Amino acid sequence: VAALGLCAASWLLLTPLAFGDQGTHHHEVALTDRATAGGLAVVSLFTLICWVLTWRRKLRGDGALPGTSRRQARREARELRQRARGAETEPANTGPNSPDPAQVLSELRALLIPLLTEAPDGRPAASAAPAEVHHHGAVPPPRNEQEPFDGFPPRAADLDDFQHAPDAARGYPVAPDNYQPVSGEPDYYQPVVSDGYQPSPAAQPAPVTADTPVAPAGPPVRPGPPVPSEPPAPSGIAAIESMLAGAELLTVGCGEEEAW
Amino acid sequence: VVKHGGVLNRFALAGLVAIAAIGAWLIAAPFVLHYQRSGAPWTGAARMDVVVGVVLVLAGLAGFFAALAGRVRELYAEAELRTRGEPVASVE
Repeated sequence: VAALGLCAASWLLLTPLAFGDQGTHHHEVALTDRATAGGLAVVSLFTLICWVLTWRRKLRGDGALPGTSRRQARREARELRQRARGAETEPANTGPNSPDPAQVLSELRALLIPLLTEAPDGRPAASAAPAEVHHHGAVPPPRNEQEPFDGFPPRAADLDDFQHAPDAARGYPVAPDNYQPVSGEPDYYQPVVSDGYQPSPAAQPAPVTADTPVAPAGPPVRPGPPVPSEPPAPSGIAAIESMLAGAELLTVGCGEEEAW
Repeated sequence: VVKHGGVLNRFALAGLVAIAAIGAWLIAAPFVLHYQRSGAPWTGAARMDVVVGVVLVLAGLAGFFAALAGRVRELYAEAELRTRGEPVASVE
């Protein structure tokens, strides 16, 4: 449409010249056409530029056009060319200024000769000739044959980790020797039967024997008032309720729900 | 760049409307400036102005509505992508 507007503007500019002076208002008509053509040309050009820029941005956003402009790409290519040229000319520039390797080697040899002629204990070496140093002598020769490997020997200490107390001492249910599960599934509610595990002597109370020292007897105890016997311990649901009451009191005392 | 894309699009649409307006002016100019009397035979200049004006009006309005329809379609597509939760690459 903008291009059509440009064509129409150019046509309007040319028509007064093409048709010539016709009628009484030809000056007025020519002036109107030229002014309209000028305005139309400006508007059409502006619209054309706007559409070109809009489509260019849209195509660049969709990836149809490269992200860099042609001018920027040309500038980057020029910089790359200059860098490559500079990298090529750098060794040539540093060539005359770099020291001669042969001269450096001869100077190093002259410096090393007096050091090599002296032994470590200060005595001069047998020959003053510079000795050749083979650094590769310290490298072991390559081994092409596979060395014998007997495997890792077993360690007896590793088995100590598996020698724990019997299951009965750890509280696990242990089935008796003659126990046979009925349904084939393990019965975890079987009573704990000790398999002969004896706790350490320190944990057991020492038996009272004749040799055992007895604490000296104190003053005679007078019989006091009869102490009421303790109530029977709660059992079953009553025991659970008492535990819940204690936990509830703890929760109320702390004032936090996290006390549970 | 993204922000200026919408402004450019609006300027482009406004340019199309301006072209249509210039066409309308070309249609009305012979009668407004009185170089085409009503009832008198049509002069060549008046006929040419009216024809060019009609072409410009038709082209400008057609371009404007076409661009507007394209823009509305893009907005619908972006809204659909947003409802799906996919990333939207909008010009605006």
